[in-house]
Amino acid sequence: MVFVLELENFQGPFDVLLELLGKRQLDITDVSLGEVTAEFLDYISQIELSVDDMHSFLFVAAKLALDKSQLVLRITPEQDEAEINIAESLRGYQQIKSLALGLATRSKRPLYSNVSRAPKRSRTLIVSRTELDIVFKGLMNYYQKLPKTKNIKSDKLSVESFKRQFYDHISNMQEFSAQSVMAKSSTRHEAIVYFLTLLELLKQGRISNSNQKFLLEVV
Amino acid sequence: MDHQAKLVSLLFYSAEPIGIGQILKTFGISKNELEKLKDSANKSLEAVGLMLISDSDTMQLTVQSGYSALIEEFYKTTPQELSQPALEVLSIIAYKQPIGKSDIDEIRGVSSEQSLRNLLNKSLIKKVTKATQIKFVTTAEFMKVVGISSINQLEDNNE
Repeated sequence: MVFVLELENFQGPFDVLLELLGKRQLDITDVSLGEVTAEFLDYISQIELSVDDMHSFLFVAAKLALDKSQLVLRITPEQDEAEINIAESLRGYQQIKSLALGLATRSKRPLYSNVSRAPKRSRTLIVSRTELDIVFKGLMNYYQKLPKTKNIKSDKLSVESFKRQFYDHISNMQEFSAQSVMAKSSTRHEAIVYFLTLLELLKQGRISNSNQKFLLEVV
Repeated sequence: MDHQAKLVSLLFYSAEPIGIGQILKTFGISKNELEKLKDSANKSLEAVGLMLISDSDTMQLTVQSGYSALIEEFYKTTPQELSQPALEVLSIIAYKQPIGKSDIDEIRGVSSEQSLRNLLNKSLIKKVTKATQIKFVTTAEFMKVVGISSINQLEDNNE
C-alpha cells in the first residue's frame, strides 16, 4: 500500500513517531523509541515523498536505528553536544503541538476590525415606475447636452486594403523579390503590413515561393 | 483634546494598522507612554466592545473577541482556518520569536518552507533582519486571528 501525503496537512517524521508511540501508549523515552523503530522504518518504506521531505525522514530513521543498535549492544554513546537527541526533540515537538492546539482554539474567537474589509450586506433598491421615469428623463437630458463627438479618420494601412493594391500591382509581374517589396515600406507599421500581406498571399497560393528563400530575404 | 481620544479617533478612522513610529512622532511621546496610553484607552473601550492591539511596529483598533460570534452571524462570515503545519509554525514563532527558518525546521523535524510562505502571504508573520540573519516574528494580524491584544497575553496564559 502506498501512502500519498497531502501537502497542506503533511505529517513530518516527529508526527509519525508520536502517532506510533501513542498507538502503543508509550512515553517518549529512548527505550520506547527503540520499540517503534522497526515500524517507523516500515512506514517510510511505503510512503511517497519529495527528495527534501524524504531527507527529513531518513535522517530520523538513521538516528533511530543507531540509537537502537547502541541500546541492544549496550554501548554507551559518546556524548556530542551537537548531536540531536530524538527523544528530547520529540518532547519539544509535542509541546509545540499542544501550543498549536491552543492557538487553534483561540483562533475560533478572533478580533475583527477594519470596516472596509467587512463583507457588504446586500441591499434591495425599491423604486417606483414614476421615479424610474424621472431618472431616465434626467439622464437623457444630460446626454443631449454633452458636446457632439467627432470621428477621426485613421490613415493607417490595413492588410486587406494593401493586399488588394499589392495583388493588382504584381499581377503583371512574373517574378519579384520579397526584399524589393519590403524596401517600399517607409514606417515600421507599413513594413509589418507588407510582411503580413506576403504571408497571406503565400497561404492563399496566389504567389509562390520559387526558391525557398523568399521570406528569408526579408529577415 | 487628550491623547487617548486622539489615538482612538485616528485608529477608528484608519482601515489599516497605524505605524507606532508615526503615532509617537504625532503625539511627541515615548514608547512607554504609548503603552500606558494603550492600557488606559483599553479600559475606556471595554464598555463599548472595542480594544486596541499592537505589535512591535503597529497599532490597530479592533472589536473585542467576545463579539466575534455576533459579527460572524451578522455578516455570515467565518474565522480564518489554519492547517495543522501552519499552526505549528505559528506557535513556534509566537513563543520563540524572533526565530530563523533552520531553527523552526529543527523543532518540527521537517521543512517549513511551504507553511512559512502561506503565513507570510496571510500577513500573520513577517521577516526581520537580526545580525544579518533573516528571522520571523508575528504581526498584529496574527494577534487579531488568535484574539489577543498583546503577545504577552499569550505567554501569560501558557505559564
